[in-house]
Amino acid sequence: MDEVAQAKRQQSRHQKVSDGIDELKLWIKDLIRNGILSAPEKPLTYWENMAKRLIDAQSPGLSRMITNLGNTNFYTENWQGSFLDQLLKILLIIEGYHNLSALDPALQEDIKSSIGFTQNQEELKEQKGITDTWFVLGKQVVEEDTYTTEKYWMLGQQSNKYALILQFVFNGQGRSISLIPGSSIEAELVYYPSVAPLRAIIKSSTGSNQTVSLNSHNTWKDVLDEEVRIYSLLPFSGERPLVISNVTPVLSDNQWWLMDTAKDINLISPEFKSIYKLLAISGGNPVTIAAVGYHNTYEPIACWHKEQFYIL
Amino acid sequence: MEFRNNIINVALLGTSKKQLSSADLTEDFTTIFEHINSTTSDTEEKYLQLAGVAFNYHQCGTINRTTDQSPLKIAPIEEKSLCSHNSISSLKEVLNAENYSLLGLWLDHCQKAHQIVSHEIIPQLFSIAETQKNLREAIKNCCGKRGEWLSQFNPDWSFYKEITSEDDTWQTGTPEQRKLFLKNKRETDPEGGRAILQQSWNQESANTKTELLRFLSINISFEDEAWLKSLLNEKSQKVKDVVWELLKLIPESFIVNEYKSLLELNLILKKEKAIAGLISKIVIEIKPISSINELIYKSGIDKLSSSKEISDDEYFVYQLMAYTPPSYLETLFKLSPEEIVEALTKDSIGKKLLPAVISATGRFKDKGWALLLSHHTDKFYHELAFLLPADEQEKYLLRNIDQHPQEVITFSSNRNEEWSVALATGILKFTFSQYYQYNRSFYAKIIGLLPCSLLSQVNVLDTQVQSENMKEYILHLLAIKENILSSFKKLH
Repeated sequence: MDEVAQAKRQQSRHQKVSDGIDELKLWIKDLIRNGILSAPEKPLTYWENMAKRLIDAQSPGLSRMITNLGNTNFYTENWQGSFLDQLLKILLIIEGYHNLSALDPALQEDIKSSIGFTQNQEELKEQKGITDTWFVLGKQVVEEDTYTTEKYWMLGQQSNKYALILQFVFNGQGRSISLIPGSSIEAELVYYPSVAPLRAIIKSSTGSNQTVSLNSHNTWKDVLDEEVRIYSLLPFSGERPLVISNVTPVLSDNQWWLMDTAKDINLISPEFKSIYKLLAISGGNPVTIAAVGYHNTYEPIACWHKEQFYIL
Repeated sequence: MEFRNNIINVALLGTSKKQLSSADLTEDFTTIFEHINSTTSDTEEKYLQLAGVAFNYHQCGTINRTTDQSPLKIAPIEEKSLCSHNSISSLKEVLNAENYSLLGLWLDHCQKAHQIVSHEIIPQLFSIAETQKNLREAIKNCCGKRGEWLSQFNPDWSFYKEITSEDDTWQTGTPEQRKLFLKNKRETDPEGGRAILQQSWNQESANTKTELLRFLSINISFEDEAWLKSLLNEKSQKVKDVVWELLKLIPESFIVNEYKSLLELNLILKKEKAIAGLISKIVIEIKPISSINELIYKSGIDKLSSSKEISDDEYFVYQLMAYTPPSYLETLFKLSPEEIVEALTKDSIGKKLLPAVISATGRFKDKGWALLLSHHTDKFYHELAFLLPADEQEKYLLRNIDQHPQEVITFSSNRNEEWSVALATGILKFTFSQYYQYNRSFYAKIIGLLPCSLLSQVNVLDTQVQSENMKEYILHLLAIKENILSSFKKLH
């Protein structure tokens, strides 16, 4: 391998990214100077142009964040708070990249992957992973313009670690794994480097479907404590999975919540389509829920009632 | 939370109009605020750095919301048992195939087994019940106590709301619920059905009166005549038309008796010798019609024929015969039904009158006459087929499948009994040949009527089906049907 050429390529990429995020910073400052009150009236091209420039700057991760920012549902009551939070997450990543060398190496990787630097999977597979019985909590499918992202949310029985396996399918091609929620596999998973590891790849698996017993959070306070621990390490952390036992669906202010035994509640995402299925299974009784989300709003992906697993 | 609102407000207005001051933040920010102020003079930079810190301060300091909301009332314990794993598997196959005919079959078996579905399937069935009104009752019965409990959370499932008493249904139910109630009442207690309609009659609109009155045709009898007769004074012509139709369904009603009298006067059957007296035959004559009571015409009998082939007098008698029980002809002419039918089929006037007798047979549900007439017609009559016993009905359908396939298919598709292999083969032979008319939706609808034994006689499909896809589709649905039947088999 030509190390000089590789270093040159890396320097060129770094320059492009630096230029791109400088331009993004100016764009954000301009938005803040004029006020986000006008954001709902901005034309689609306002978001699209910035997203495209970030693609040119080899920063697809940031580009996707700008697209999501433009896709904010401005008709919801509290869009301002979540819009600003998203904008500030982008800012943290930008600032992190500017100060990259001063950061923990794992956090450097978090910042780089958020910007859109890819990780060589073959190199990753050479590293030692965690061998465990991994239970498939759920599968989510996100349709993009030209491809489909399949998200498999996993929980290790012994390690008690959560993992996210991503699979990108282009025109129906490229599907190499197919995991069934409610089943489990004996596998070695290698995490992508991160201060709060979540995304992983399957290094090897032997296949299994044995009955597993999983650890779960008992209260929302447990969940919040864990979230705060992660935020302290990774302030721009996104959605993460969790399993919480003994929660009951309750209706308050015309919204569905999950209430724990301490009467603490967290919102069920309004995007959640299977609320009636969850209610039908629970019958008002406490259930164990696997959900994905953050910051007081969660989308259930599965539940257990009377030791039976249900996909939601 | 006030500091967060202040940060959001500045972002909304823009830093060109408003800037963050230390008073906008909590004491925890004093040092950070001073540090940022001293290191940059860029207004937007200052705001973004402060807001960035505040963002993480907020997300790390969030506490859970607590509620004093009462938990949901727990769903009552089920009284029926859950159906088997195999039955649920077959239900899932039905739902995947989106076939409501098979769903009806599945629900029917589930009800007969006094079982209920797994709870997680209830929302999917309720969504179907929103549009498929004919399946609602069965779905309700198969969703048990959990279904009743769940329905309270979705206004679209208000159809589940139970109406507690008969009075409530009749007084406060929807038009559809009232109609269903009256229909059921007439089927089990005809007098009771009439009584509730009489009670509310004066409060009903003309349109409602018309719609509800039609249900009196169920189990109608002479007991209904007196009230119906009194309704001939109603203002609405629509209502009166329905009243006349109902009165003409009662064999002993005053108007049918009038028709009988007129037939006695105007329809003559007499024996004549033929071929030099060697044989005798029955000749039918119609006397000229004169001095008719106006009431006859009011009852819906037309004066004039609209066909050149049939005279006004013939048409008049034709109508009278269509509204007179065929058994009356036996009394009138002192002949057996066989002799009367033979006379009608051999006489030129009789041939014109034969459809009226068939119509009357259907109207007065005379099974004996229906069986006799089914052997003397070269057309297919729904009203006759409807009255025949199962084996005779099968024969009648098979006799007519080649000559009148459309009529046979329409009739067969609307009955509840599964088709025999012979009938199914005959029908499929025709429908496969007309593949533009009989497409997937047709087979989806009649799949419940096709016998599963066709699965072992694939050659029936092989030789006739035009499209391999269609064959696969039918076989797939038949396999699901077989799974439904076998999953419930042990229970019946």
